[in-house]
Amino acid sequence: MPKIKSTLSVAATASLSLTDPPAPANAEAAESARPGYTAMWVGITCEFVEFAVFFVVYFVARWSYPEVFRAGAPRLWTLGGLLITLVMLTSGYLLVRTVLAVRRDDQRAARVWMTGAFIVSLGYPLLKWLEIQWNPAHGVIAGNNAFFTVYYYLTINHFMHSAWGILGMAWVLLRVWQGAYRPGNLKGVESMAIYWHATDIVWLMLFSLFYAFV
Amino acid sequence: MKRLLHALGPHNATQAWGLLALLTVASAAIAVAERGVLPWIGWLIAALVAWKAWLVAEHYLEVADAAPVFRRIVRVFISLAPLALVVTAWLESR
Repeated sequence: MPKIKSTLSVAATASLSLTDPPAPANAEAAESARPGYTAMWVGITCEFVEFAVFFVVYFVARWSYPEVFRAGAPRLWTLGGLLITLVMLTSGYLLVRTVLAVRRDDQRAARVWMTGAFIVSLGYPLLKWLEIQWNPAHGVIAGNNAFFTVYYYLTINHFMHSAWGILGMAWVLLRVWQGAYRPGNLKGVESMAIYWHATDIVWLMLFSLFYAFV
Repeated sequence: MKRLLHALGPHNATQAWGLLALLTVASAAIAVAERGVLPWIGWLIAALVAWKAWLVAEHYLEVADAAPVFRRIVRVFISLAPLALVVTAWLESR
């Protein structure tokens, strides 16, 4: 009887404990070997959920107003969309090279690649500004119809996400020039790259929904 | 099939970047040239965007090294818009 009491007491203590049971050592090692902070993966999951909802809005609007969408798409600045895509892909590639350079502790290469990634990423706000100038002259005005409303809502939302990414890149650039990232201490630069690549994936979707509309 | 795709695909980030740039230019060119002409062209655009998103996820995001839950989330997300584009192409071609 005392043995049963003791077992129940241990079980109750374990179930009411506020702290997680200690994870096995190999699980911790596996977690630390993964790229970036877990918090950043959670963050991009939230970004994906947000844009998944926007995609639902896009397709409901497109299926409801097919003619409006068909007439609106050719009026967008396709070259601008193409150039933004190339800017996103190229700055993402340069971030990959930055991470690889930090992993092999090549600080000089990391500084060069990271500077390149930041400079190329600035092409996005520049192109977006040019697009905003171009749009009204071609009748691309938010209130005109469902297509333009959805186009502005989704692309400006994406631009806001990218603006956060560019600010983050400025911080990581500073830290790279300070030599703050080393093999074994590169979660910061990896997390920055993860955020930018996730934003890149979202843009690839937007490009196919608006600029490469068929 | 998986081995064939792997053999034909890029083997590093530089090759992936070149392929991504090529596919982007191709999809824009197809859209401008064939917009509203060929009813099945939406399927091709859907395939191209799925391929591009997969390339970014595998070669840039290193999703294969991510925790399984995030790996699945990324793969589900990159399938959503292409699948919806296929459904749209099918609806519009009827």
